[in-house]
Amino acid sequence: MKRTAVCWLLSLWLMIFTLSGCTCSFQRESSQSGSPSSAIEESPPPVSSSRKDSVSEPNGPQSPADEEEKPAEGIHPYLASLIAPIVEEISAPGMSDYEKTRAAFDYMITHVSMEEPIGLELWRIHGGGDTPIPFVEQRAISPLRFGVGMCEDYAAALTLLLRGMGLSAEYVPGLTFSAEGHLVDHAWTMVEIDGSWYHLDSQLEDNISRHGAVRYKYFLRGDASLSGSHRWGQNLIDSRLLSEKQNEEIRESFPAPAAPGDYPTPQRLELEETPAPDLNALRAEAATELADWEAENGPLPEMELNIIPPVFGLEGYGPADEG
Amino acid sequence: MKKRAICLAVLCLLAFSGCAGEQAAGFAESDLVLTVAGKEYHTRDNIETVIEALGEGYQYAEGKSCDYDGLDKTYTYPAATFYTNPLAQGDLLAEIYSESPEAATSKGISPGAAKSEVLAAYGDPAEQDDYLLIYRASEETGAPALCFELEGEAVLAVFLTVDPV
Repeated sequence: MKRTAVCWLLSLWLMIFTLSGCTCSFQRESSQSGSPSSAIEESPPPVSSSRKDSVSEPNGPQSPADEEEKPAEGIHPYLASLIAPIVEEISAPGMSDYEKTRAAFDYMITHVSMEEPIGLELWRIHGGGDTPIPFVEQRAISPLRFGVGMCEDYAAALTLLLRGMGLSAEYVPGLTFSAEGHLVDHAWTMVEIDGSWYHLDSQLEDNISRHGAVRYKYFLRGDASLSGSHRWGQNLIDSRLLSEKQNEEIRESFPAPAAPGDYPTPQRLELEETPAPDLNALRAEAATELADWEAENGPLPEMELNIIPPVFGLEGYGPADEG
Repeated sequence: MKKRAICLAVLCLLAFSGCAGEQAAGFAESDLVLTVAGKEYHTRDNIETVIEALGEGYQYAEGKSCDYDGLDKTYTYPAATFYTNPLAQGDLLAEIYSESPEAATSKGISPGAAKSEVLAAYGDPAEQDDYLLIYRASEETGAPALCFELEGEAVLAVFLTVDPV
């Protein structure tokens, strides 16, 4: 009797053990498969024009008047002269604000590479001026003229390109995560479309487009989406990562409008392979232009250009060997 | 007595099978590896190990690093392209990208495989769209991801990366 009871107890224990083993494997399976897959929906944007054709076709032959400098109000003539032909190239009559934004964003991805900026002084010999031009204009020169720049240059150029197309756009200094998972200083753009603001990170998008297609991961994103990878404005202040002086600069100069939601993601853009820029040739071009001017007009007086990124300065933010 | 012994043996077998569990589809940290031309690579391996294995027959490109002080470098071999970041320990792999059948994942998936094979091997991805399946073992920022680039229902390329995807 006793032996029977022991045997049944043992069997019962083994059954329980068996069932717990099944549960463990179920839990492992659940944890390994992770969270439910999130489909990145690609629904067409609200506008209904033939977006792809309109952003890719040039706007017909340029008239002689188009080649003249057309300074936009408040912007240095040299910047205006760089922006105008690009706007002419990528615009078409009747484009919506979304289509203009997409065209400008695509332009940055397809025409600009990540490199140190070139030709920062050229505005001084084209239009001139006794005082430094604003930071955003200063840093927009290299991507617009030479197709190279750092993240601040991408952000500045896209901001001015969008404004040149009649849109409201803002330069946004902030932080993003490096591949090591550290926050490092960064910059991007915001644009207003149909009364709503959105984030555009053309440099990061360019970075992830190296496999031959633009996925639009950082195109027209709302605050909630972008906050997974970026910090800016009030959320940067709230993170208490910066000094009070830096926070004050953000409050005063870069408050950043709220971006309530994402714009539907467009279909990805297949990219043609293009050769890397010939940096030596570009630097020589800029240097020769400057030298030729100075040969005729005498040396340019010393001037401290407005090239230091706002908020983070030359030191930047993040680990010493990052950012 | 005999019946009890058999019963016990059956239960023991069941217990062991429960303990071992099923080899179900799923993704783990051990899957964050890519084999190229017979050698395994992980993100943050030194590029020197690649050059040692694959030789000097690569196309080279470099550019200013966005995240680091120094140059990001690209080494393109027929079997795969290796992207590096300049870190204190040297030029470390940020990404290994391949469209070649000479590359294979931990569960033997190579470019040319069917999307269904990927899903059968690794289960549901952390993220996906019509062009990409992304698997992560951790949601921690900077954690590597194994990605499958799709062309229709076929795998066009596989890549292992620590860069944003």
